[in-house]
Amino acid sequence: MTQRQLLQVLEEYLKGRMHFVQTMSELASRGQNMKMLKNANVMALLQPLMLDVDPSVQQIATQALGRLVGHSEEMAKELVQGEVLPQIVNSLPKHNNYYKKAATLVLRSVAKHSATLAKAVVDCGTLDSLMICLDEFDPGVKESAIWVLCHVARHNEDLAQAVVDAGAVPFLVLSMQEPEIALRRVAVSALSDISKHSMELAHIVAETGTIAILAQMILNPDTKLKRQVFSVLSQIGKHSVDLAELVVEAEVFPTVFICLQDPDEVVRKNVAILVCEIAKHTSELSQLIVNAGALPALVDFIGENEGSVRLPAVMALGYIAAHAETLATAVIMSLGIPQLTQVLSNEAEENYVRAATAWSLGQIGGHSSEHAVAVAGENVLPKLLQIYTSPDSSDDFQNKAKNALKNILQKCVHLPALEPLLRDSPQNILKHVVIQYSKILLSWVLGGLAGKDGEIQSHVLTSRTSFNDKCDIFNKEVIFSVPPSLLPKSPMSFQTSLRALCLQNSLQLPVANPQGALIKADAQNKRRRGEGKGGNRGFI
Amino acid sequence: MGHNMADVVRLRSRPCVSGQKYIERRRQEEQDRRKDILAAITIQTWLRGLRVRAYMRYLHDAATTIQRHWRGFFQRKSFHVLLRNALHTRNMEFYNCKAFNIQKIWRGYYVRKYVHNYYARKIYLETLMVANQITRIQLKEIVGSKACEWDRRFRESDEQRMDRLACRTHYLVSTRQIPGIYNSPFLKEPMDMERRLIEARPRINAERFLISARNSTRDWTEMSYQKPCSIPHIRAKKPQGPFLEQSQIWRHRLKPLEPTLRVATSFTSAEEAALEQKREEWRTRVIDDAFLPFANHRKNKKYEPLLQTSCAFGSIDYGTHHFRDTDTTKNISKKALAYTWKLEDGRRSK
Repeated sequence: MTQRQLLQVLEEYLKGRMHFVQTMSELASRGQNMKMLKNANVMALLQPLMLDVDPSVQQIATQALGRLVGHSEEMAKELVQGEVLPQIVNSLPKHNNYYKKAATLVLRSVAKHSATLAKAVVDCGTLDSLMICLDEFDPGVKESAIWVLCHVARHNEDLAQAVVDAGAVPFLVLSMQEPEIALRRVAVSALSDISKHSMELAHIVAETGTIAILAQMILNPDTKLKRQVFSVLSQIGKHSVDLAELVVEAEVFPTVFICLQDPDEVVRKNVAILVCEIAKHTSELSQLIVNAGALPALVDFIGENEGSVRLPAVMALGYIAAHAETLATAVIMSLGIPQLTQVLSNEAEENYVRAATAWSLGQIGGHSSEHAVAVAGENVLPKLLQIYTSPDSSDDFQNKAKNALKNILQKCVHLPALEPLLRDSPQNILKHVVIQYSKILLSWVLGGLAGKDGEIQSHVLTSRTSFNDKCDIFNKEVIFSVPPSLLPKSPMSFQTSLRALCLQNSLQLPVANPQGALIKADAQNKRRRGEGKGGNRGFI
Repeated sequence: MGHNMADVVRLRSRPCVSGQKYIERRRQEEQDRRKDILAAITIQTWLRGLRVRAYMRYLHDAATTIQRHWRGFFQRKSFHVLLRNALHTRNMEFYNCKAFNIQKIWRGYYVRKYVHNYYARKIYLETLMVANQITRIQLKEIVGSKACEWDRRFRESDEQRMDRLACRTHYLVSTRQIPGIYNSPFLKEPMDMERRLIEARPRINAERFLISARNSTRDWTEMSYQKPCSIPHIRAKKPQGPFLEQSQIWRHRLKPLEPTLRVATSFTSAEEAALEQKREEWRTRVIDDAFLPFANHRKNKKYEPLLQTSCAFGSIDYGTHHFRDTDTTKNISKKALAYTWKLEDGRRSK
């Protein structure tokens, strides 16, 4: 054989290998071929080709392997067990850019499946090689390297800490300021994945002056970049009050409300999450946000969007209202309640959004009687009751509805709102309703308006009889004294209802004598009577 | 037996005394003796009682006087203390009342101002509503302007997508013989896609590569292998190098401009420096006179006129030509001011 023949054979072999790896690469990029490739045991064939003499065969083989592994977790585990990763990692600094990109693709595909695989990747010493990659000029290489960091840091706190310990954060901050959009996106998403785990990590990310840079990127026209930017800001802001204050000090706040109406849904959701996380911490922060004009933005946002996108906005309203009574009034005055009731009634699929709405309504209405009246005025209470009693609401939903009802009822003294609840509420809710009724009646009695509304008394009476049937006894100190002179004048129904109420409060009464000295006077109430009948109308 | 003979004689010699009467008298006396004794005792008792009572009364009065004087003295002493305490308590009550008032007013003010300021809250809520309206309007404006841009971008991307589709399905263009699917004979004019198909031009590989690089939403890795591979060398190429470190490069890039001294100095720096020096000297100079050398000191003596004569307002009236000389040109009347004094005969001297 002449030399030329030898060279020809070698070239044919090379062509064959090239063809094979290229085809594999093409096939592996589509997900439906995975099963076929797995059954054909392609991985075992590709692995030795990664150490091939020819560099382009190497690169394409690595790339094919990366794509393969990216689609299935078992292949990733196989790859880790085959101990190929250390070789890849060690050869990473030595080869050219294409190889680096391919190798980082493999690492990324392995790391993205689960935390154990990511840990295996880190254990091979990937992070140091990646730092060398980050030193390169080529933005493509940097991007792939940062993708690996992203996927590694995503899983849990230790891995994120490992990434930070390798000194990645300054590089990420520098890469954020590069002109290439893809690089910026991936750098920001890496920062988001790092900072979401714990407060220290978020601190490390925030202290390198990142927040100012991120704040400038808010109005960037690129959609995916905006998604990641808001995601980072919300992850940083969610851990502690100081971090949230840092985010607010970067003067993001009136500007982010513009992005609440961005055409992209994910951006809107992330902005709402940011507002929610910041409003959660303290009442000063909530007040800051409200002063910056959050309420109209949030209310309009709830009105215009659908589904789970609204959830963070609803929760943000709930948190804002929960902190201070003034803020709850502000929420009410910004027409938040009609929107929330609309969510409660119209939201078809997502029950957790309705649960969050119920919770928010409870927070708003629980401050004082005016708030409770405002909330109850939108016919919210029957809806909440319906949710609580319907069998197909989840446990969490029922709990939230019950708590909201309780909160609102404890402060509500508005009769038209309490009335619909009397008819068919379960016992524990009815208890609260009747307590509120007794408060109202007491104030009427002491105010001399006894026997005014016979209808109401009969309602109370019917509810009372149902109680007596169930033999329920409560321990409430609402004992009131009626001057005996008043008793003969009042109609029978009122007296019977009074008796019924006293039965409720487990007092011993002589049954045969409806008139006369029925009710024992407490010293407290004697004092009250002494203060003047007319002056106690609003004693609640 | 105290009776002696003289007595007997005397008695016998008394004319009226008869023995009988004497004996009766003596008998009566004997009978009255008990009565008399009792009477005497009674009188004596009463008298003694009187005396003792008078004495007791006297003692009582004395004691009362002493006690009275003592009590008065003592109470007057302690009255001062009592009075002082009473005054003190009354003062304290008064001050307490005033203090309560002050505290009440202060507490009311403090709570109303700092703890729960009703009017501030009201104003806050009203301003918040107004601010909300303003925010809404502003957001609407900004979003409106952005919406145009978003719309435009969306439409552009849509256009590009349709153009790419036309490029790929260029064979659907209608020919003279066969009208294409977008050129139905039942329509008045062909659809927009037809125009695109006609205008579609084939793209070369390099362009395709560039376009896909521009819209890189996908991996970098997927792009690098689209150009046809030439058969590489069997021997692996050595990578280029050595390159500088990334951090060094950045430091070079971001280094600020440090011009040389020659470049940094302006053209007129010499003149400016001279001016500067002149200004400096002028500023620090205390004496503005030129320094004349001592050699021709007498010759160069300058005449310094009096301030009064060299003054702009001219010399004053008084005493220019002779003592007490006055200039009457400027007077209203032509006479000079005369100083006169009154003489004894009522005249005025001149």
